[in-house]
Amino acid sequence: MVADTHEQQVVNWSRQLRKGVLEFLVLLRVREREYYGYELVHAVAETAGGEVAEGTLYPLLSRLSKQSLISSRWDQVASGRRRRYYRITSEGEAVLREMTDRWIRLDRAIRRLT
Amino acid sequence: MSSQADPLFAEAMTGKLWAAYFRDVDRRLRPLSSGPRVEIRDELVAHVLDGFDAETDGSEAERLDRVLQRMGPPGDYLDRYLTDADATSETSVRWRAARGLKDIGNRLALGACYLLGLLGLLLAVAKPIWPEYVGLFRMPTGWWVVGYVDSSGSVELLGYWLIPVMLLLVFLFWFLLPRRLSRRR
Repeated sequence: MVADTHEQQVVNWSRQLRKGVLEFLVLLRVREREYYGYELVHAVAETAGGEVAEGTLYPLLSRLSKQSLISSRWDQVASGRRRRYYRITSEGEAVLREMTDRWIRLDRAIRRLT
Repeated sequence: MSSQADPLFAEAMTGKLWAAYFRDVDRRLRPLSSGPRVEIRDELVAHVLDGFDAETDGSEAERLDRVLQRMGPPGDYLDRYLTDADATSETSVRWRAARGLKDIGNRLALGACYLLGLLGLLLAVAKPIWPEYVGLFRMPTGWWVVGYVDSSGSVELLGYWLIPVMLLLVFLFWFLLPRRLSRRR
């Protein structure tokens, strides 16, 4: 019973941690190259451990767009279908640099403790 | 609603899965204005179709089902478009107000259900104790009255059938209606 509680606590913590780094993961991905929605969401969900419902990433992409950290464009693909492509903006790159810096500092601090 | 036509599937089951999912999407996106609504829907359609193309194992319905499972239920993520929206925007304010009113309405309806169920149970228990006073009566004025009443001059309509009728109402008010109401929340 106690073990179950501990297990649950770790699962909850892990879930919160993943949710907290989703923006970071999205920015890291779109820094590499331009991604279309499915490709980006699928890649981020996989990196986050596959436990993130892919749908939850679309409101996040919308928020990052509103904050001008990423930009998007629609493109027509085969059989008349449309796809939305995302890329990082210069503002997004600046924020990502700051995020990466803080992540590295946090990682170092944790390594010193463990 | 969408700038893209829904795809045609070979299996009827696949079409049903698609229609059910996007019916829910459309319902949840209704508070948004048409521009963002169409964009969001188109993006979800593109995602599901790309995911469907990437799936290779199983029947058509199984492939679509796996993609939709990975997406998650629309209720788990679409509301975030509205909660993420500027809290002072007209859409957001209207959506929050409508949601608040709906919640209050649901709670009031639930409370009424429990009270009516309790009343039904009391009448079912009271009928064998005071058979001449408890029941459904047609009063001399022509009105129909159910409960504990002075029945002089009135006609009793149900007799002991009142007990199963009231127990049925208890089932309706305590189990069936609350379940329906909680599904709507």
